[in-house]
Amino acid sequence: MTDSNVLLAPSTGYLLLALFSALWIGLGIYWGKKNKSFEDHALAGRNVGLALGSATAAATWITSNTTMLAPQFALELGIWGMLAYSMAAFGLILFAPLAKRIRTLMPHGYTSGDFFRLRYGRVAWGIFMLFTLFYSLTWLVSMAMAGGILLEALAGIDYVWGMTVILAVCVIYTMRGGLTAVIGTDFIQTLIIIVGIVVVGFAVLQNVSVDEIHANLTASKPELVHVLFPAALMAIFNNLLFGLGEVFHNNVWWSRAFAFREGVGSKAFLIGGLVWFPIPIAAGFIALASGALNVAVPSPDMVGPLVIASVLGEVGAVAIFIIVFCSLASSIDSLLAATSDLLVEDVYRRFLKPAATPERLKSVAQYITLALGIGTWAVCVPRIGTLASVLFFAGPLVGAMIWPIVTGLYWRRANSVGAIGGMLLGGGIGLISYFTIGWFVASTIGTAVSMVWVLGAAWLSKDRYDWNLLKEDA
Amino acid sequence: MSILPGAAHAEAPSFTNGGEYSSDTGHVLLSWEADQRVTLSIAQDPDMSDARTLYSGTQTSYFLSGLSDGEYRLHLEGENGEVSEPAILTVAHQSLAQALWLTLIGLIITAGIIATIVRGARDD
Amino acid sequence: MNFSSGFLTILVYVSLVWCAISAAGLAFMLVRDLLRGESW
Repeated sequence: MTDSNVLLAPSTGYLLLALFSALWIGLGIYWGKKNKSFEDHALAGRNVGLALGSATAAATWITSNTTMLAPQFALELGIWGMLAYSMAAFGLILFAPLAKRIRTLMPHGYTSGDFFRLRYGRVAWGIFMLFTLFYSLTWLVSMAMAGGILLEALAGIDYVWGMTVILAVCVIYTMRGGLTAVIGTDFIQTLIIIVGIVVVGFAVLQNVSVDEIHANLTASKPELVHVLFPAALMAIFNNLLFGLGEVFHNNVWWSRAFAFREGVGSKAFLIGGLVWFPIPIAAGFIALASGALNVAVPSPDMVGPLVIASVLGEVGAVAIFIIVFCSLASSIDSLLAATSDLLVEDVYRRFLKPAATPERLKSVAQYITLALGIGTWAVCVPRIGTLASVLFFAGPLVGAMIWPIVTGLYWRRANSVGAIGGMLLGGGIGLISYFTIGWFVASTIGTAVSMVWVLGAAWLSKDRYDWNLLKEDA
Repeated sequence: MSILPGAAHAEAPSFTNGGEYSSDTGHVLLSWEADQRVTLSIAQDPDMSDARTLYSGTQTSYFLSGLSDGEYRLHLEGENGEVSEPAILTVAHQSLAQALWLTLIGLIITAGIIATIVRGARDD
Repeated sequence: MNFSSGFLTILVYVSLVWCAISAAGLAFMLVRDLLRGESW
């Protein structure tokens, strides 16, 4: 896109950017005042209630991908595409019982790394760290890049400036406020995003009826309404398993399982999943309206903003800008916080300085957040487009961790041989299938291979794990 | 644009990648070079008798999706009547049998995960 | 075999209404938690 056809005047864009930046940073500093120790900073005092817990689960799962990629998915893969995208909600819904189990087994735990180390030993922990850091860092980079690109496309704000501001704002309020600030801002961001999507959705329906959309699709994009559309069918479970793998392994979600008050965790993840479920459909269908509304789409990632701007004009462009900024912030802040906690707990405290004081750990966590932000920024500045797609390599890697985690939490006979082999074989064969067959099979195959290995190893095993070993003192 | 109205020296628009496209998903990003407004149309008949207009304007790319199996002809017409070489787009969707098998495998794995979680802790 | 227009209509309206309800529900839950002093 060139400056001549941006949707919003740059001055409006800068004004919105400044307003929301000030709001998030102000709230981060305000909420950060109640954090004294590392436990307050990393886990918000382990006392988060149901409303904030549910909203933070939903908000973190609403990434820029949900609000921006869902329309693209709908435009490429049609009705099944929207439904396939919604399947990722099962990641949160199925994590609900796991969260309860995790809290019971590990009352003093901090991270998902703690689980791998205590349950499966150092080697499995090392593989987990490799996989999860690859996933978390590429996710972080892809969102920061998406932020810069979108702000440029929407309002003509220079890519480097937009990306820098989004990252800097998230780093500042996460550093100052820790998980408390992340969860508090997540609540506001969730409401803004959902209300925005509902308003925009009904506004689109004022201009074109679903019948007209359907008639236009049947005539000119018949495959999008076809029940047996091969690529879309394959996307359904591939997406579901990718989503399960992402949620089950990542410290973003484990840190929340530890942070929610006793008894809140499973309900909050269930409600979060249910809140999230309709969003890809509500945000995605507007892309299907592009034909009926005569909106020409020069590239698939811009379909959402273009349709909304054509229907709602400048108001729509402002709405999109705010929705995008909120969905980016709600995920970038969580990733910064959870990844820095993982490095503090699993590397700094367990390997380097076991005797560090809680105050010291808190300040180390803040510096690591800053370092992650600067590192991400440095990778994003050259704007290498292919970097964002590297995130999809993570599909088979995270899929391969599902079975080691689920059986490790429930079965005493699940063992290290199963976990290590499952992650390596599932991840490896899944990656091979990514390159030889395609992205749409990679997570499914990676998870399948890992499942067979993990189940086989558990079946043959004589080990019986002692759950008390997970209750290691803080 | 600095082209004078009706300037005769305007070059005929042309598709950027030589006019050969293929897709196994029914979607493709078309792009072209043109120094004038163009009209993009699509047809399935070789003589373009069933042509319908997709786009008219000054963009130089267009995202097309949701096409069924088949061979499509695309052409660009400049506003002063110059017509591009037609592009051929071949759409052959992936195997439905493969898609259904993978869906079944995905369903089995998911059911296994749900069963394991629902069954809960085993004390063996 | 195609998804019908009716199916798409239901899908779109249900998801929009669902979103609206969940936003209202979250706001209500927060007020309740705040009144009980259980927000965090």
